[in-house]
Amino acid sequence: MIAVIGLVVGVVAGLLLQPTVPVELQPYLPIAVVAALDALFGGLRAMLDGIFDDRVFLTSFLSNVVVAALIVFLGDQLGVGTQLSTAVVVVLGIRIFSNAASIRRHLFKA
Amino acid sequence: MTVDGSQRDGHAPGPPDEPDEVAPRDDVDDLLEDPGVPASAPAGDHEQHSDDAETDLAAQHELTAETRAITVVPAPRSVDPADDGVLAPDEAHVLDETLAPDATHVPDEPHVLDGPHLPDELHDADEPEPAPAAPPFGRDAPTDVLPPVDLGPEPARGSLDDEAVLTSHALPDPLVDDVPLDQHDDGAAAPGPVFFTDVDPEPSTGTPREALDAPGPAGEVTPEPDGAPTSAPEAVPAPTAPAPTAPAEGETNGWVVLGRALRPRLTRAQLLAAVLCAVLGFALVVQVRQTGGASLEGMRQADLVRILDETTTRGDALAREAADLQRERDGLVSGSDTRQAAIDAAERNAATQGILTGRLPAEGPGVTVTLTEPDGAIKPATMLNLLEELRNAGAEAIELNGQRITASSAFTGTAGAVEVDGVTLHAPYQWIAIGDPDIIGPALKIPGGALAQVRNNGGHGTVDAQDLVQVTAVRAVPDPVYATPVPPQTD
Repeated sequence: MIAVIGLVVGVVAGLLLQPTVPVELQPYLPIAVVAALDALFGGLRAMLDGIFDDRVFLTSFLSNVVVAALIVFLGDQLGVGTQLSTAVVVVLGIRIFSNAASIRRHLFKA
Repeated sequence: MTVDGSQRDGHAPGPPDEPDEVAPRDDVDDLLEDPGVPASAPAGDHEQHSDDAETDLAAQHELTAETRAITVVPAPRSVDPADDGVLAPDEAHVLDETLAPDATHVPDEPHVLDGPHLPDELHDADEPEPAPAAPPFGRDAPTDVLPPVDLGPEPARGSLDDEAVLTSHALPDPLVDDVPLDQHDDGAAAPGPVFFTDVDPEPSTGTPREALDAPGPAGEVTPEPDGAPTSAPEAVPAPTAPAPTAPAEGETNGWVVLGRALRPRLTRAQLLAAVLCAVLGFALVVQVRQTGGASLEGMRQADLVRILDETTTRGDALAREAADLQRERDGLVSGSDTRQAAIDAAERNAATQGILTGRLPAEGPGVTVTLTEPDGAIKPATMLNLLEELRNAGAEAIELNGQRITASSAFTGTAGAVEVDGVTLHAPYQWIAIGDPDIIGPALKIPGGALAQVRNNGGHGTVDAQDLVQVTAVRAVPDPVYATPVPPQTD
């Protein structure tokens, strides 16, 4: 519940503050968001599996974000930023889907 | 005991391992969810059993030649996670995905289903020494394990024989491999970690966390020589009790766990999750707004260059197309102008000729000449003379008593009964002529002219100049039968 409240608070803060993303970070923010979503789903699944651990959650959240951004950054330096962004999004999407499938099994037994 | 073990061989590992998964899962659940509460219970169990197992071990240590073989086997396993490092998460997820049913219904039939997937890995690692690998588990397991298993709800499982054996063998391998990966990767460890954590605590007598933190060496190496045998027996009692309950809990737990998690509690995990979720929501909204706003701002230079190129190329193509269309339009406009001019000329020509030939009614300034016969009769020659005078004066359209007078009109008949083109006219004669009144009027009145001749015939004529007269009578002009236009001369 607190997590949901936190999510809402974050959304409201984003809506109210209307910050502008620094130009250097603009290519990485969407990837980071997707990575964070992946971590979130992973955490939810872990919670349903009964093995949720805040430390692991924090670590995976941050490392996912950082690694995803790092990959994209590296891709930009190598001139394949767009392709690597796509790759990262695809991989994270697959993970999100598999996690969502696991969550679904937990909740709906199907 | 040892006898049982030797008999059972491979069969034993199956049952003990499976229950292991189930039982520890609950333990872990409680441990992580509500730290402190049930942690003690499993620990106690483990220790008790480890004691038993140690006694067994002591007796069996001679057999460890085979157990060593096992220790050798896991080595590649422990390498796996390290090797795969990057790829591991994906693989782990794939496995999880396929194994997922196991995660929820560990003790159920799905094991049999998993057999086909997992045995491959099993064979890779174990095939060189399938026999040795199995026995160590088997000996220990059956010795202590089998009796309780039989008593417990598991007999059916024990009788699953080959399949059960395969799956049980298979499971530990991939699971052990997956465990560290999953754990570290996601925080969403699937069934694997659970299994693992259970194995660990016994030798180390630590909490599952240790297993999670140091999955590779701690999990595999340490338990093998000493712990592996012990773990098997320990596992046995667990299955008896929790095995049946586990699936039931698994069935109902999803929402319960979710609800429990949603219950607001000021735990570290909850606060942490809240903070991270807040960050995520913030970033999400920012990104959405960013995307909704200027779409070009966040693009890379290469993309911008590409877009610029495309736009330029497109612009050039459109400019060329515009030029083509402009030319085409000009051509059409000029063509239509020419055609319109021709049409106008033709219309003017037709109007002129229509008026001249009497095909069209006409109007304009002109004169009306009225001839009466108070005392005498006007001769046809007089009428012809008047007509000639009108023509000389420039009359363009002439009408006489409703008859259109043209170039081919002829006056016949006798005085008093003048005929025009075969139609007999009666006085008074009404001439309507379109032309310049100031010229026609005087022309008719000149001495010895047309009107003078009328007077000589005993008639009387008046000329009335008007600004607008209408010649409404028309005459059908027969198409020429013999005459054709002369082709235009080029020179």
